[in-house]
Amino acid sequence: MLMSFAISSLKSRGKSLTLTFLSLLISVSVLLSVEHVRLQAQASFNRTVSDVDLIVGAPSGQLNLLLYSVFRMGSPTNSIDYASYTMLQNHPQVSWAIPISLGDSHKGYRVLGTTQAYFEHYKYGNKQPLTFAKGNPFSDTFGTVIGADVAKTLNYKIGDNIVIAHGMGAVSFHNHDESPFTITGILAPTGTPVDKTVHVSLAGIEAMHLPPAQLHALLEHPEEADAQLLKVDSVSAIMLGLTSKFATFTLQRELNNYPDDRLMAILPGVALTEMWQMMSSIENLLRFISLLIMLSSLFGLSTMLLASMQQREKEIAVLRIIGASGGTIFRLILTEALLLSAAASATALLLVFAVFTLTADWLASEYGMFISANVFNLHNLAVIGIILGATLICSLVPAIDAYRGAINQKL
Amino acid sequence: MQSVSFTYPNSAIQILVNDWQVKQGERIFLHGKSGSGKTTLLNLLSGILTPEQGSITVLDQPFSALSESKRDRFRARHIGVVFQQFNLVSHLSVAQNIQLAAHFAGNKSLDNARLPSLLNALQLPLDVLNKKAKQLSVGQQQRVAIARALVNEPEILLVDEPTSALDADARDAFMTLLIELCEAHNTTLIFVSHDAALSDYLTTRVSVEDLFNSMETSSC
Repeated sequence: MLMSFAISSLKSRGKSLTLTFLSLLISVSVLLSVEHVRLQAQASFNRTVSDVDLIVGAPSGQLNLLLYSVFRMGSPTNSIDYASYTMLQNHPQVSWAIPISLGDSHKGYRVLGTTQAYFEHYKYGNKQPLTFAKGNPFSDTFGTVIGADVAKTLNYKIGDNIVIAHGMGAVSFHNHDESPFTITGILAPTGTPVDKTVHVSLAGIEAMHLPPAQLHALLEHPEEADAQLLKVDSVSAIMLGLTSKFATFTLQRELNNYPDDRLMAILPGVALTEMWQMMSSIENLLRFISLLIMLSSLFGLSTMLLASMQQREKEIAVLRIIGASGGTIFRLILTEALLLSAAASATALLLVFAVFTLTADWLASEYGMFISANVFNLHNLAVIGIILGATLICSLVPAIDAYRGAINQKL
Repeated sequence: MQSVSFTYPNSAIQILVNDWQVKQGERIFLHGKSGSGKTTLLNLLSGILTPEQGSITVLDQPFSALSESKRDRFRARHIGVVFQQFNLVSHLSVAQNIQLAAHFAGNKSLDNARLPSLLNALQLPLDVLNKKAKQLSVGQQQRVAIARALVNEPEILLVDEPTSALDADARDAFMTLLIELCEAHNTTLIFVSHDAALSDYLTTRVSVEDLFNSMETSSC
């Protein structure tokens, strides 16, 4: 009965209720969005690469190396000799090595030159290997394997030919039209930047950059191609899996002091942590701003309830005279505040769910952020619990005011 | 009421009642000038206010000595109140207004037949049950207020200037109905009004000036 009375009472205050509701809805939505993006981004970052012990690239700072080799963001400032890759391949402490060559794109998606080792050893999430949804790894120079999102967005299937463009832009004026690549495989979704990557062989990268005459000859008689023609000179980075984790620091030091090439080796976990720490100040600032917005909305709710007390003096008198205790009036005000806050929180949850459902693809393609739309989790429920707790505290002032007014109420 | 005294904070009026007893089923007409303390007396009798000194015993209960929550529950169960204005909660339906009084009295499962029979007794059409209180005429609102006051079948009914907003015909109809209902349930009625003409409907006439030992005191 108290609940239906509270609902009816709230409904009777249409305009002020609507404005307070909207204010709460916006602030709870902002708070939930920030929290959700923070957790999802952290999970997304942490699941991007797994089981890689070292990433080797040209010296440029570990964040830059991590960003371009794992997240396909930014560009390699320099490359490393292919000889360094072969050295590492044969290194006794290295179990496997994945070369990465970057610099080209296809309709905005990064093209990554690599070897079969990529499909055998690259892992994401909790050491999950890459799997093929359709087809197989490329077996010749002009074969390509595309990520799940590339296939879905561009509606590609096995056997389709694609043209790779020079540079990273979505629109390029320099396309390698003469050397189309044939899709041989489509990877299963991973929720990582792999989904947005076009994978080709290192030889394919070299081939499409050949002078037109040599490229034409290669395309006409691939079996007669001179091995020197497709000789790889350099790669952008190398991912390493070691025979023993204990060798990680020794090999890192060794590579950082490698005399024959300028190399820098980083630990992905350490770089991810540094990257996250760098972002945490922005994250904390966002959370702080969200909390301030939330608090100001709750004070608005408190003010609305407090202002309504004067208008409700007569109503409270009626309730008192028909038997409502001061405690009942106190609980009524708290119930009204909690109802409003709970309704705003539930609506905010649905709103945030709808927004992330609609923008998931855009966030992934524009910012490389794989944000799940599933906001119905324990963390968000805990956040809503805290919001309801804060509502309770902020509503104590009008509730106490109503209680005092009620016990001093006269006919 | 025994040796009851009460003063509002910062007020010049002090109310003193030496001894006043009302018998079961009695219908009292309490009259007096505006500001003489009639409504304050009802507030004391209903337990909304508690006396500074003395005791108020209602239905053999030392009413003024009960805790606030017990007094509230006692009022909901045993005392019906109808007053001059703001009788009903405007945003609730008529049914909800009446059910609320039953709820506070602990009568959670109000008999479905009780509401129609109450409305019937008060000569109100059944379709008002789902109407909002603010959609009713003043006369209908007063009758619904009586229905709400009587829903818990209280032994005592306190009525404060209920006819001030009614014209002469509506006032007479209201009074006739009220008296009939009180007689039917042997309800003790304390009826407050400054309109002396209404005393004809009631059995005992009491002047607040005679009842109270009112005296002017200096303000604190």
